[in-house]
Amino acid sequence: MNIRALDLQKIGLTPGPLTLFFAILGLALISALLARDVSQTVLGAVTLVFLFLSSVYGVRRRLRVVAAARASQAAAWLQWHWVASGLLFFGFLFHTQGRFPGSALGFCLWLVLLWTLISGLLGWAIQRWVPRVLASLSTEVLFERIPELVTELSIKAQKTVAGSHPSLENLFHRRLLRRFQNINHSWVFVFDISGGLAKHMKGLHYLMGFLSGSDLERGQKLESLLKTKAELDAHFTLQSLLRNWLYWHVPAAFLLWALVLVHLFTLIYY
Amino acid sequence: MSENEHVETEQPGKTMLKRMEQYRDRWSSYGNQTGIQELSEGLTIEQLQKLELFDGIGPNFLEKMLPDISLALWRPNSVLFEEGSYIDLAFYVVKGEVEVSTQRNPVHANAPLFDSTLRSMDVRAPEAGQGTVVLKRKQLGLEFSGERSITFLASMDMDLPKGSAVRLGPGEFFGEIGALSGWPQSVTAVTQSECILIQIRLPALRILKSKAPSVKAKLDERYKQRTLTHHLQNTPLFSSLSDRDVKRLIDSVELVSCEPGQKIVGFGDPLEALYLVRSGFVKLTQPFGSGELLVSYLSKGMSFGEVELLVHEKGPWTASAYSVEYAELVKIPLNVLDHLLSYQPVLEDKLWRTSAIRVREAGYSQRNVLMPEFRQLALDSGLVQGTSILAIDLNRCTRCDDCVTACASTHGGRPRFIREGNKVQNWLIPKSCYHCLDPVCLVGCPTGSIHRGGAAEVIEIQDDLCIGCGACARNCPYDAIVMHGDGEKWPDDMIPTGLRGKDRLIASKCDLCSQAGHEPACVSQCPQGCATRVESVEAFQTLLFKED
Repeated sequence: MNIRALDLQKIGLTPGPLTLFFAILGLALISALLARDVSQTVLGAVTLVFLFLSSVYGVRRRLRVVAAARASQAAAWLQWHWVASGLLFFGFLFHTQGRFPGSALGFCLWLVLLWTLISGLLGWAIQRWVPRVLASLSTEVLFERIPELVTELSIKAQKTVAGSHPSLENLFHRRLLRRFQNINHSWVFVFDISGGLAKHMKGLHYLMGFLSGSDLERGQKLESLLKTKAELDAHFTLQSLLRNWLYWHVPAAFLLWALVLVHLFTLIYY
Repeated sequence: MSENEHVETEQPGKTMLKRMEQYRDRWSSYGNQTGIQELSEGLTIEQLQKLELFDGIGPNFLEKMLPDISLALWRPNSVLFEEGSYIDLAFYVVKGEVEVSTQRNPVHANAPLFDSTLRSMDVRAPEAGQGTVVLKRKQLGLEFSGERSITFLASMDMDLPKGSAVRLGPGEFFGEIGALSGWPQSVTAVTQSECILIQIRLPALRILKSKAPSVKAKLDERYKQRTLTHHLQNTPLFSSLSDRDVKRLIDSVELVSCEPGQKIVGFGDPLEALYLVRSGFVKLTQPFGSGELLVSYLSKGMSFGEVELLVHEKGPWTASAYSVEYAELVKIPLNVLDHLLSYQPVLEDKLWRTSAIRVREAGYSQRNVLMPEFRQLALDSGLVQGTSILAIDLNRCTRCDDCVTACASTHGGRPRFIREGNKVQNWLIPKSCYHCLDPVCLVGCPTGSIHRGGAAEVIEIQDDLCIGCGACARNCPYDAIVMHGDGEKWPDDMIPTGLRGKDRLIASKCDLCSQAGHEPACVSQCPQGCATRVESVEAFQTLLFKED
């Protein structure tokens, strides 16, 4: 059996941060076992530090104008974000001694933390998987330009069929035009990158068997335009996914901070 | 221009006046801070015909050349050009003396055409004196002693020893090799007295070279005498030859100038020579199916013909060769090569090695058609010229645009590239400056705003020197330079006059963040680490095909 070594780079990690992650985790476990009476406050403080470290990446992204931020490597910061987030989870477990929180605030904290971590993991998976799928397409396009390109493509398709064989024109206006006119934001691209293109082109392929000369050429051009349109739709759907998962993650992180601050306030006040 | 005895005045008509205005704008774009005291109001065919330089050129061609030829009166101690600068014109001395020197800073010179004090110009042309020095001071003295005879001095290729200088008088011509090839000047030229110079821009220079056989012959002859030895001895193939062998070789070679896309040899043609590329690029193609497959491209210092010579024992050409843009070649006849090979086993060994590479490349191209496809793309898109190519691995890119945002925040909110460009397999090559080996964008910048910066390969634009003429953007074949407005208008005393009152434009391009003082932000700010800078097309090729 050919066992290939785990390619850390493919999952976006370099050995340094990963080693540190396991080292800190190991130390934390050993400390917890050796000193059963470690103060919960200390563990809570450590968890807070991990929360702070995991949030620094997001802050840094927004402070890009600062020269010091530009001089450092964003990829390294992202790795530390992952490592700190992982440690935050374990820190939280130690802090709560692995028990389900009884208070309402504790429950909310527990829930929001889980939500933030799971949405982060989901984002990580999306960032690993979607780029590979998009790279397999023949076109590469900027998300913002897709609507403009779709309009151009629609005009081009209409010009292509104008004055062609009536059957081709009829097929185009009845079945294909609406595919060109709007961006097809469909989840089908998540499961099938072609978006069921073969099904939509079936009629056109059948008709092309009867066409000849310039009409056949128009049919072939239309086929090519349809393929491009399907790729633009795929880009739109999947690039939306790449952008929008953050809406599940970042607000939750803000909420988590808010709850932590309330938690700290209650601790100090009472 | 009272001093000029060659130029007569005439009463201009309305059309002539308009032409004169256009002409003035064109040439006065050098600004009033240079050493030019007076510039001609436009020359006539009759005036050009009186000059020995333009002998044998018909009136039709002279008329085409007119807008690109000017007569200028320069002040003494004015810098015409400096070492390392790029110019798109050559100079012909009508009156006065010009000193050309290497690595010597003019102390009492007027503000130079390309002011080095306004920027860091650390880059030097290939070191004069590196390798064999051909042009000895003594030889120059002998050659330049003849009065009124045309002497052509190939500025780029003049191998002056460091710190030395020579004086050029009336009838001498210099700067044309740098202008024609887009290379930086290897010498600094300073007027020693009040000088009248004919300034010939690139379009006119090309006509001059192609339509005046006598001029081309003289240019080639001078090139052979002064610089070919140096070139040959710096070419890997001939680096082991003795001075005597090189001299013998030079006596029998032919210099070939090619137009863009010109067929140099055809598949199946009889082999009669080995070719060495002096400048430009040559592509080799082989018949494949109903078309032609690009099997290799060659750049400066590379040769072709060795496969046919050795592997096929002087059989016909197994590939067609085409020039890509303008190219200069050295044609070495077969009999000369045969003679050299008879007693130079090292040369034969080198030719065998090159042959093996060509055969392997051709075989690989036939088996893997993606490689020639990439090579064609590399030629068409200018990647072959690149010394810093931005490449984005789309398998890892999350399309977050952090690279572009980082670029914008480094450059005052205006990004120097967009995430669009050619896609090669899973790699995207955005339209960002490649920092070309031979940067044609530098040629013709009237103020020297676009220049090579402190680091050897970085080509940058100095905003306060840019007059927004757009020459660099037009010259860049790869659309890597864009012109943008900054909301200001040109003042009423602006030269060129055509700009007065118009919106001020500034050229903008990637500078590898050299002015910001950190590594390129597009690379360092990519959170996925998928953006990279590749130093050559070969390195990119390795990146592409290593996964195969």
